[in-house]
Amino acid sequence: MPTPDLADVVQSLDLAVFRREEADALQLVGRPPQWLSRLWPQVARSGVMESVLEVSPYLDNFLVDAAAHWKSGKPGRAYSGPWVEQNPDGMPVNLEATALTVGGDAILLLEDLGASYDERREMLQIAREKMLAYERLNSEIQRKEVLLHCIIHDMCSPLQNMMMALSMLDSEILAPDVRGMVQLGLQAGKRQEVLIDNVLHTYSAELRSLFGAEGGLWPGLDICGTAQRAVDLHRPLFAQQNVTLVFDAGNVGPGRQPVPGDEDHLERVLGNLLGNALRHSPGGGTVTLRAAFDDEWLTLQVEDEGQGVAPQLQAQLFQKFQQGAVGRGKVGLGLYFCRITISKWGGETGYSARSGGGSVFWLKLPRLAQPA
Amino acid sequence: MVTKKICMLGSFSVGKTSMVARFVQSTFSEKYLTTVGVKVDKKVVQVGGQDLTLMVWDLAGDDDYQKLNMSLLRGSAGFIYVADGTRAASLDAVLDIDRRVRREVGHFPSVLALNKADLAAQWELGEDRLAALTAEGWSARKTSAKLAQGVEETFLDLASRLLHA
Repeated sequence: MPTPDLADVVQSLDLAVFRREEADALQLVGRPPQWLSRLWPQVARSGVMESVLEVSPYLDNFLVDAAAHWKSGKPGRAYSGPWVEQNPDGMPVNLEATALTVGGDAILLLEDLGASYDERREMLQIAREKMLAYERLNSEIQRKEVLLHCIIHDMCSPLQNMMMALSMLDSEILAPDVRGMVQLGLQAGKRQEVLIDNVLHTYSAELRSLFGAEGGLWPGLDICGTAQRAVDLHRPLFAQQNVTLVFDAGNVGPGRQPVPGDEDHLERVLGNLLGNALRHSPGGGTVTLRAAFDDEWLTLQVEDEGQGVAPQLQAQLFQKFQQGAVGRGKVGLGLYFCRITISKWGGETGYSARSGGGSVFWLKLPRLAQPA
Repeated sequence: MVTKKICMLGSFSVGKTSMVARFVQSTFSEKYLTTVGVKVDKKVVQVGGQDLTLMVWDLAGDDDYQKLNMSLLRGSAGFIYVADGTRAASLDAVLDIDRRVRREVGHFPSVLALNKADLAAQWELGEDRLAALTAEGWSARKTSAKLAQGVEETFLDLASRLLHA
């Protein structure tokens, strides 16, 4: 079988092949592909690229990495990554360069990526559009949940005050017509309570769990399981940013523990605290989720090794739409969500500086007398 | 004539390419087309009576799919950091890029563009945040590549800083 001509092989691959010369010029090897003749006609005609910087600043930049690769004598290739040049007629040409050594020669391959570039872009575009949609949806859900909470809170508080005042009046000695009006007020108030309950039930079964346990009894929470789920969910993100994530269960055992709340919401609260810690953690750092029980409280705290929070900002941390001095939060609702959730369960949230630098965001849930 | 390389840095879909298109070609497209790799454009500006050629490197947005390759910043004189004012998380991301750049490449003159100012109803960055960024030493301004607001000023601000660096 006849050996194929190397020049024919190169031409069929549609590659431009250059050899690096002593004077740092690039010497074209073999025939130039058509796209090169259209893109850089002068280079194709002369067969040499003398001032790479003038022809392509991007390629000139890559030659530094390519030179290091050629000099290293290591096997394999160095890739430039894709970039865009423009034909004299204004049409974009998507290129990628590869540096390799062949028989002691420093070789640079230039490829017009053509359709493969478009495919790569299309995939990336779809992924990013989905990510944008996901971000928007999450943000909207969180906003609506907080808004709903605020509305319910605004409706409940004055109503409870009115009902208390009317109940006190009702226990006094009143003229029959006055008592009738007081009782009318009490009945209206009770109807309003039922209405609010219906609103909660209709619009957010999930939110309902924030306002109390069914029948007044909490079933208890699997703290370790919930914390572990939050940790597992976040572990890939932490790994990507080279931050170690540790869960220390302390003296909290497995299974349900006698604390109020529901596991889905607690997982989201922990997720918010972990996400917050990740955003403020330096690469190579560690974030620790620590659990501990004492006689009165279950404490869960997330410790990071970031720069901590300036004293003047600490008081506002758990307020609505707070994002810190450098705007590092997402939409400013995460910590607020933590606060309203935990406070509805009779717990507390807070911040303290970590000894040795960094932050500790903590939450406490009361230990219930009822058996879990 | 003096030539300076500047790089556009930021998360994806913040409007880096749109800002370059507005600055270099005075054009704007509503269609979002994600950037893959790098595109280099050139524009001559006049700063303080002096001509300066800006080589504008439009780098692909940094995210989990495409990480910023620091070797692309080699030879840069300064950076334009871009965030999308309707996505507060993108400001978070660009400040993170700034930290990585300072750590791995060094400290260079930089300006910060809070882009998409035309989308006022969706704007997530309060004036207090802009003030906080300014207090931290950022030259930050709201921009709209769509309405050509603040874009030229952003590039000229950086150009001026380059000449005085």
